[in-house]
Amino acid sequence: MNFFEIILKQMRQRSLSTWLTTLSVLLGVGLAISILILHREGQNLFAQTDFGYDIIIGPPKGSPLQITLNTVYHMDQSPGVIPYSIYQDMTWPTGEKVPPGRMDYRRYARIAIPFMVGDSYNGRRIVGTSPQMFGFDDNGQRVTGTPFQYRKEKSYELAAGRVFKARRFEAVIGSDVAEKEHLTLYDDKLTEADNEKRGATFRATHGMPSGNQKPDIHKPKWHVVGILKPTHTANDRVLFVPVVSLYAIAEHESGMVAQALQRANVDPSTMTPQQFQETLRKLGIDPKQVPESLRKSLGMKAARKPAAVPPGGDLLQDTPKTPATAPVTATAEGEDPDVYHLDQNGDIVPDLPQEEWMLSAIIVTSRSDFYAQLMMYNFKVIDDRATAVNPASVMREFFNTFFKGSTLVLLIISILVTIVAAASIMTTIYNAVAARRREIAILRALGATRVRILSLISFEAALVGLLGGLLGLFVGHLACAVGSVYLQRAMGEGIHWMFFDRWEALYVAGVVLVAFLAGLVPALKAYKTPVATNLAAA
Amino acid sequence: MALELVNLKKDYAAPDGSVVSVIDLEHLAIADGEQVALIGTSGSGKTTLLHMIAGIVAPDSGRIVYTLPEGATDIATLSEARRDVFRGSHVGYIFQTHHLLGGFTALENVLLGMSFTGRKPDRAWARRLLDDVGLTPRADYKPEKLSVGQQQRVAVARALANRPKLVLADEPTGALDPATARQVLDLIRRLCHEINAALLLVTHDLDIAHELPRVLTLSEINRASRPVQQTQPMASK
Repeated sequence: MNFFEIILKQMRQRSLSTWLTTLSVLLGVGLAISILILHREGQNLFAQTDFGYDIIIGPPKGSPLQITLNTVYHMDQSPGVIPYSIYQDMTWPTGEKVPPGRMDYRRYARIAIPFMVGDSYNGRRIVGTSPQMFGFDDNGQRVTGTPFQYRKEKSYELAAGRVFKARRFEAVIGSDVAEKEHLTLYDDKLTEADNEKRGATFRATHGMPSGNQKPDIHKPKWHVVGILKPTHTANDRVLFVPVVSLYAIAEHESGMVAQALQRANVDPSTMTPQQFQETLRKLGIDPKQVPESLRKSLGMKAARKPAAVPPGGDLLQDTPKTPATAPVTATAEGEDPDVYHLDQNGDIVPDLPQEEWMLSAIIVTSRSDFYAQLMMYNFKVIDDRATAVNPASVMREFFNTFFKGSTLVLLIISILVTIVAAASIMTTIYNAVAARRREIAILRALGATRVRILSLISFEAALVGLLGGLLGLFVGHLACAVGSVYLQRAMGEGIHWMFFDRWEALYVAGVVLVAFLAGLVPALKAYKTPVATNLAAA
Repeated sequence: MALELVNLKKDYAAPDGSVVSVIDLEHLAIADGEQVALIGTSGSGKTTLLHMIAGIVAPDSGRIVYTLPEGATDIATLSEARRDVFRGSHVGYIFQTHHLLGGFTALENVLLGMSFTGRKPDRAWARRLLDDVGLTPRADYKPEKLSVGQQQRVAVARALANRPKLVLADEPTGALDPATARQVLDLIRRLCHEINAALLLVTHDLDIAHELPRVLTLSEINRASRPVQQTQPMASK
């Protein structure tokens, strides 16, 4: 029998204690490995610096982390809204003079993408944005120059269909949404009812209701016109719709007018109707355009449907004064009233004036790092309508202050668990040696030297460490696979749980070494076992 | 191989601090392939003498010389580790109780006897030995599944696993019934003869002892086991 056969025999002879000891090593190593992987992948996931954009403009009161998590990872609640005018300030048409009193961020921002959240579909976030996000302008033409990139050198690509039009109830959906929600492309040749049956249309739910909340489903129905290729980011779980379509929802319109009143500290109950109407005009809100849903709560008289002509065509253009051609449809009983009409092109024209439009954030690709810094400075010192954050530095800071620290603590705990496991190996084998003195004496009588006995015991400990280490490695990766599934569901981004790096190998090697050293204590006891007395004692 | 013990002495410290002489042997020689019985009462130092011959215990003084074809070796002068290796290679040891390892099968116990010589274990020879002791059908049995006689036969096979030049048998039949004892004795003698190994069999059973061609009485060759013993303070050693 060779050396290792003898060791394995010894281990099998005490299989229960061997397995229990191996289990304790396994738990320690499994914990440590999963923490190592989470630390590594957390760094990749959260401390990434390969954003395709460098600034996120968010609400002034929102924390940079909340703004970033909400915009990049679609996590957490939106911290608030910012005026749509900021977006306009970044996208004035080239050559056009900026109106007095407005900012001009064109020289800072190369690409600006509006970002509006608040609704969901089956628990999946609906994001209002512009076709620029997918490399098209509002007229459906491909943009010149580098299109918007969600990661460096990575732009959205369509797997099927086309990009939505800027003013239609159309949607481009992420690959995961298409697959899991069984949504498919709208087919113009089929009836609306058939398309609905096929899962080519959907209606948005207001907010993100929890399980016991009754969902408030909005009236408009979006047609799925495009399905994105997988990006392996949280965006795969998102339904993208034109931001304008979100302003055509009654609750949104009411909410924005209410927010405008709140921002101006206007309390209608303390005013006469004339004073209130005058205040509304000062805020840029035509009293006749206040939505019916809000009129009641503000104690205003019902108004005729708006005859005013809201903007049409390019979102960034000033309002073209085209007459409304499509009559507003009658409000179904129990449903929201329509707060938009369609122009002669079939484009949505929201009742809500553009001055009251709001966004959750604006994603900006600056013209250079210098301009990015200038823009950040501007929003910090001059422009108090919003705050500008650099997602890469925010996530790095988040990782360094929260994730890195906590994983370090967990890593220390797992190392302590491993040391306890090593102590367990030592105790188990020490007890085994005490009980096996006769066997050790027999091996010595058969010609085994003291060093051979020492090796047999310490290598047995090392083998338990190796076995526990390898199983722990497997279990650690398995735990991370489960974690990856969870992260994939929560954030749309999983982790590379299968990837094996040298730190893991070093850790397992360290565990084997510690186990070997732990085994030396009982091995020395075995080494000193007197042969003659133990043979006689038997 | 021939074995020669010259002026061999071994003392032990008694609990009261005095020194007890266990072995004080002037001369003993065993020729190549010779089979010798050594008779002694309990506590007369039989096992200690065997342990010294095997190199398990080092003598306080004297020589234990093995004359092998490759030359003579006084194992009393060897380090403990080299004595262990020498024992593993040249000496077979049969204990009164079988001293088999419980977690190993009969065959593995025999192979275990070959595992510390630095040579590759000879599995065929191990099987042949088990066949010789009549345990081929029990080769894969663990000791707990064997009778006492079968266990002792496995122990005999294990002692001969390395084709030793000397087999030391310490009361090998002491735990067996007379019929089994005779079978085991015959087995030991036959196998030693087959491999031309000398045999030194220690027993207190005169019938067993007289089965062997040469019988020695320990009290005659060991001055320390004679009735009147001199004791002296430990400090004088």
